[in-house]
Amino acid sequence: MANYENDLLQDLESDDEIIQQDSFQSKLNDLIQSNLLSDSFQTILNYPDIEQVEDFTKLSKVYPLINELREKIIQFSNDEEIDYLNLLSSLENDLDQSEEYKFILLINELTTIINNEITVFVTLIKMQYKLLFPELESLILNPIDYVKVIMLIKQDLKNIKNYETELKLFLSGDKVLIIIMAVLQQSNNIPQQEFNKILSCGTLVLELNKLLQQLSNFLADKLSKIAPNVSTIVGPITTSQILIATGSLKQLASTPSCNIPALGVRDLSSTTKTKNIRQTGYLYHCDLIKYLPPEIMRSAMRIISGKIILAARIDLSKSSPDGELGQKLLSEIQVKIDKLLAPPEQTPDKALPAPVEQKSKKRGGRRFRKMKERFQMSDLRKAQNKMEFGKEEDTIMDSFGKEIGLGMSKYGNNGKLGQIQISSNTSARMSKSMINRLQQQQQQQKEKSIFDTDLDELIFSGTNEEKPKETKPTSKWLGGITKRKLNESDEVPNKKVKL
Amino acid sequence: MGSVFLPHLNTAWHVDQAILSEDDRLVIIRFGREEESQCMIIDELLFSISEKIKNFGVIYLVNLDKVPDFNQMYELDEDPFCLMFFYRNKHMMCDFGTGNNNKLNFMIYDKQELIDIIETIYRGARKGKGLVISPKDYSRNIY
Repeated sequence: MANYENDLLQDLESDDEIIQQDSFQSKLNDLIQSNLLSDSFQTILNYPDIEQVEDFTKLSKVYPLINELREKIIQFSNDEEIDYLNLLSSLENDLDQSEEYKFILLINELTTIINNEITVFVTLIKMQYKLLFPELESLILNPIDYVKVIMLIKQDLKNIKNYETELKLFLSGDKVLIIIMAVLQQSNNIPQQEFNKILSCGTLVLELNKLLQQLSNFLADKLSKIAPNVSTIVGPITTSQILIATGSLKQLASTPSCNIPALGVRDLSSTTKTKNIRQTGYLYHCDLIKYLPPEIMRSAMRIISGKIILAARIDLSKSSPDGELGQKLLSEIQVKIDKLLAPPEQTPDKALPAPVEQKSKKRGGRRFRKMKERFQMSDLRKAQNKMEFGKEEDTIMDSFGKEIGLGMSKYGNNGKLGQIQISSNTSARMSKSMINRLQQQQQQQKEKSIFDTDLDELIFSGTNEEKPKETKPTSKWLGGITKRKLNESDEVPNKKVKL
Repeated sequence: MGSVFLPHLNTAWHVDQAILSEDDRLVIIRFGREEESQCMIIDELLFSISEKIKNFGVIYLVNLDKVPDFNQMYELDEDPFCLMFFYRNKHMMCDFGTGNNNKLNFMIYDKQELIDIIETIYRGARKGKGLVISPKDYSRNIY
């Protein structure tokens, strides 16, 4: 945006014809520029001797321009011959930008500044009015309503009932009741001089708010012609901001919807302010989104930006000039947001199953016994774990150099040599499928070797090829294991030298 | 809050009927006074598990002031609250290690702990036992 302003400034400087407008435009530009440099919130609150300030209108940067802005609005809203659509599409060729278009560009910037100033002055009022009626700010959250109430009841807290009908004009009945109840407990006073300050501040806020509404009405008026559907969804101000950020309606229609929330994101540092929402752009500040809880903001923005693009395409094709389809989309959005806002359905705790103990279905039988035997400790191992009393046991060293006691494995439980019978149950086995697989593997290897190495032989010797002997891998495998088992038990351990 | 949602037994007759009428579930009765803080805490705990254990246990609340009939027999007046367990009109005892096997009269703050105790008692009751041993020993109960 800053580049635009610079361009505009340069543009304006070159124009000599419109001197009066030039000064006004440059004032606005200066305002926007200074706002870019430093937040107005900070500057006003950091103002030295803020308590001594009598005229708050001097603090506001926008206030001096109000009258000129109003004139402009009236002037441009009467200019009907200029087609806004042309204005926006003319952005692509920067040369012929009309006054009105520039004005609309500036308004976009101005609305954020005005909003900022309103919050600043409302905080100022709050700080001072707190002494009189501290609860009011928590009772009325809307800043404009808050100021209106103060302007109405002033210091006259005791006779608040007289204002009841007037309060009900802009507040709901129960709110008015709450205020009246809360007022009854207050008995403070502020010196009149101080209070005049609050009043002047309040008028300023209301003035600014009025200006803001006028600006948005002006924009709405213009936008209702070119983007009726989009502006029914997100309102005129956001629409114009988005339109200007994308360039034209045509470009907006061809923008992917995921890019909409990113439009108008000021700085990356905004990530620190809001935890969940990364993209605090124009869409974030539109009324539909602003008051939503932050948890669903992201998904709401996604829904709305999708609909914005649809509406922009409808607007581009001019199939619904009175915003009817936009209204339909808006109601769809509202239904969806309501669904998001609805609390999740509560499911009761799942009841635990009753801890009924059933007897196990497995009872025994030959196969089960065999299966259990397979995992039992072998007699040999049992004997190894026993030691003869008063005698040193034989040991062997295993391959890691660890000494392993042999216990009574040599003698068996009875102490006689060769008593232990090796049961075949505990020996390692292979499943049938495993045996088959190994056989297949060996077969394949043999075939491969025939083709690889003996190719010459095959060619030269012709058909006199002798088939290699097939060996049964099953017997070899199992045989090996049983053999080893037997060897192990028969192995003569190296006896330790007795002392 | 929990005491509002759980069923109350307002007379001794109701208490008897509740114990008698339940066929295959453990009846857990909390005797106590809702206005006492410990009782409130245990009510909250009971309410939070009542839905979970509904397959094998049901919880009732009895106010000691409204139904004083059992105070003497079960010596209920000594504690702010106590939990008693019944299965098919039989009082189930549980050895918590506290010396009092008749009732649970100490604070429990953990839901799962209480569910475990109830499950253990239910298992024992199904097997026809009158006394079961608590899964956790509460003899060194420091709360």
